[in-house]
Parts: sequence; C-alpha cells; structure tokens
Amino acid sequence: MSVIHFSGVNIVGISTCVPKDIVRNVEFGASLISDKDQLNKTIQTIGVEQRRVAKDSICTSDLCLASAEKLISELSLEKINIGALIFVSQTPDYILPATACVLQNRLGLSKETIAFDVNLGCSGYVYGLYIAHSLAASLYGKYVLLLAGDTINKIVSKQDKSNAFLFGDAGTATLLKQSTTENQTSFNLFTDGGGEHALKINDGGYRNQTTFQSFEIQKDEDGNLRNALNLYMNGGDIFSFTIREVPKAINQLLSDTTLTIDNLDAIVFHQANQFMINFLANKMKIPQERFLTSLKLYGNTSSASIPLSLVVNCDSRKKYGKTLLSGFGVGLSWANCIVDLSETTILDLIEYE
Amino acid sequence: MKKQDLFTALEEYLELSNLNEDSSLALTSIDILSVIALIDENFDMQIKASELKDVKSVSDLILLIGTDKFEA
Repeated sequence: MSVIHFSGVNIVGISTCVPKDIVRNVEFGASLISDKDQLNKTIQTIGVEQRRVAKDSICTSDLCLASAEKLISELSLEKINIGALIFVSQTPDYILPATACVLQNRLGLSKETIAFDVNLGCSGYVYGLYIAHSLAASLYGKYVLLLAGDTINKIVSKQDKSNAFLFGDAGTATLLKQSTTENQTSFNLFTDGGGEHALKINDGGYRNQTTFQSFEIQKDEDGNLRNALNLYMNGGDIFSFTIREVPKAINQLLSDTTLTIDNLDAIVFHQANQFMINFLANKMKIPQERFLTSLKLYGNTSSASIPLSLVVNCDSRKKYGKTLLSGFGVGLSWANCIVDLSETTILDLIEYE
Repeated sequence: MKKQDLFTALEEYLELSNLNEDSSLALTSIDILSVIALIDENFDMQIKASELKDVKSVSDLILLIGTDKFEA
C-alpha cells in the first residue's frame, strides 16, 4: 500500500470516557491462577494492573456518547455543523441497525448527517481517522465526528487466562474539520484476512449462527475455558504478525514522509500488551519519554486505546505536535498515520457513573 | 550466535537453568512470545507461533531456527 496524504484537515478535539468500576488484576486473578508468583508474572508480562469494566447496562455507545457530548459542549459547537458520524467498534448496540444511526438520534444531530458503523478493533481508530479525513476533505465547513470504542469485557470469558486479565472498556470521540492550515496527515493501511482465525468470535454471526452448542464451555490445551460466543485470541500468532508487519509498515510511512523517529513528538501504539509494545518500541528504538501508554491502569481498550493514551498522558503545559499513531490486530488489519496534534484540544478523562 | 549463547538466552528469557541441547521445553503461551522475540532479536527471523507447537526440546528449537544459523 502506498502512503496516502491529506492536507488541510485538522483534528479539532479528542475526548475519552471510561466506566467508573475498577477491576484490579491481583484480586481478580487470585481465583484463576492460584500460584501467586505465576499470577504476578502474568500481570507483569501483560502490563495491566487494573482495568475499567462496564456494567452490563453500559454499552460502548454510552461511553462514546458521553465523550461526544463533552467535546461538543467544551468546544461550544453547534450540532447542526456536524456533517458525519462514524462509529468504530466491535461491540455495537445491536446486530442492526447501525449504532451510528442510534447515536445520530441520541446526540440530536441533523437528519442530513452521514452516519455508519465500521467493524474494526485494534486498527480501528487509525482506519476511522482515515475515513474521517476523507469525509472532512469533501464536507466543507462541516465537522466529522469519529466515535471509537469497545466494551470487550462483555465478550471475554472470565475463565480464559489468555484474555481475562487484558481488556478494559472505553469510548472516545474525535472531531475533525477542514481547515485553512497546511498541516499534512499521512496514512498507510493494510489487511491480511488470511489471519482471520487469530482473533475471532466464531459463532453468533451468519456463517455460524447461534445454537445451543454455541454456549457449551470448551477447555483448550492451556486449560482456558470459553464458549464459541466468547473472544478467542492466539496471542503468539498476533505477536508474530505484529513484529513481522508493523515495523516494516511504520518504516515505509516514515520514509515516504521523509521523517525519522527523532522528528516525532509522540508515538502511540495500540495498547495490545506490555510485552508486545515494549518489544516494538525497543526494535524501533523509540525513546521512552515520547512513547505514550495507558495499559497499566486501563488495559487493552481495543479501538479506544490510542485516543485514551493521548488523553491520559496529556500535559496541559505542552501540546502534542507531530505524532505517530499505529493500530494493529484483529482482521488481521493494521494501519499507521502521522498527524499534527499541535492545534488539537484534548479534554480530561471522563468517568461514566 | 553459538549454540551455547542460545542456551544462555533461553535461560534468561524463560527463567530456566542449566539448559543444553538435550533439555526438554514445555512452552507456555507467555514462553512462546519470549521465544518468538528471542529469535527475532538474535536471528532476524520472524517465526509463527504455530511453528513452535511441535517444539518440545532445545534441539527441536535449534532445528527450527536452522543449524546453519549457528556459529561453530
């Protein structure tokens, strides 16, 4: 994939929301891994000490809605000026209609709003930004609202050691608009559906419809218990895909934009797990002080992990400038972009009651 | 890398001791990540997790990497 450039589209603001309920992995994991040393090693390897988990009654759309309402209010935006709404998630409200349609109504946006869902996870925020840039470039004077988030804990088996410690829930809102500035955003985006089985929920769609067998708990070779409606992840395959493809893709983007890591003010990877992002950072010689993370306190929040990392590391005294964002995972799908966030308003984290 | 260096690296990555070519390996899911990382860093080879499924010993791992990749 060649690099795609946009100029004159600005990321106006970013807002994020997490559920108030905190799950601490030391307490959560005690019943799952009885050996204390083994439990500590697991927590240390994945790098997640605690996570925010949504109650059953809270959906991804609720977290995104709270983020969007705050962003619109803080920026004193007229809702009539929002021309498009993109909802990126793998945990929508319904199979149909699209959650973006539900959110258009809940947000009180105009009926002239373009609204649709995008079913992507770990790469979803960068894909969403690419689509939002394309729309903003054609919607003169209108804002594009990108809502990205997931409540992955709803689909993870609590008895699956490979997943149960990892995921946090979060929803985000990002506003974009055409601007008169010359700032350039550059993207490269990739797909390899040959890896579809590495991260998957097998049943519940229309290839494998839900049956009584879908609910049967199966034990895998590592002793993890899950059913066919729970998330399955082959961490090893995801890791080998990531180290094979992601550095190569980032180097291509840097080369095409004649930039180096040293020219970037901040670097944010999808928060897959500590082992993986540390490995990538070391391999790419990324300095710790410009490498933003949110894993320790929020876990892997899927499509929300990149904006959440921007928010929780935001220093009100210094704005982010040129920033590399990299998302990779389920699909398999991966995407990178270099954006200028020097004019972007980044709001404080919201807690959803 | 010499084979002895691989034994030392495996001991460090997998928190094991006294490894040699005949040592057996029972790789957990976390160990698999470590071994993929070790091979990438030391041999610039990107192996798939599924390729490690049949690795039950250090000698299996050496065969997977390729005996020609090691210094005499």
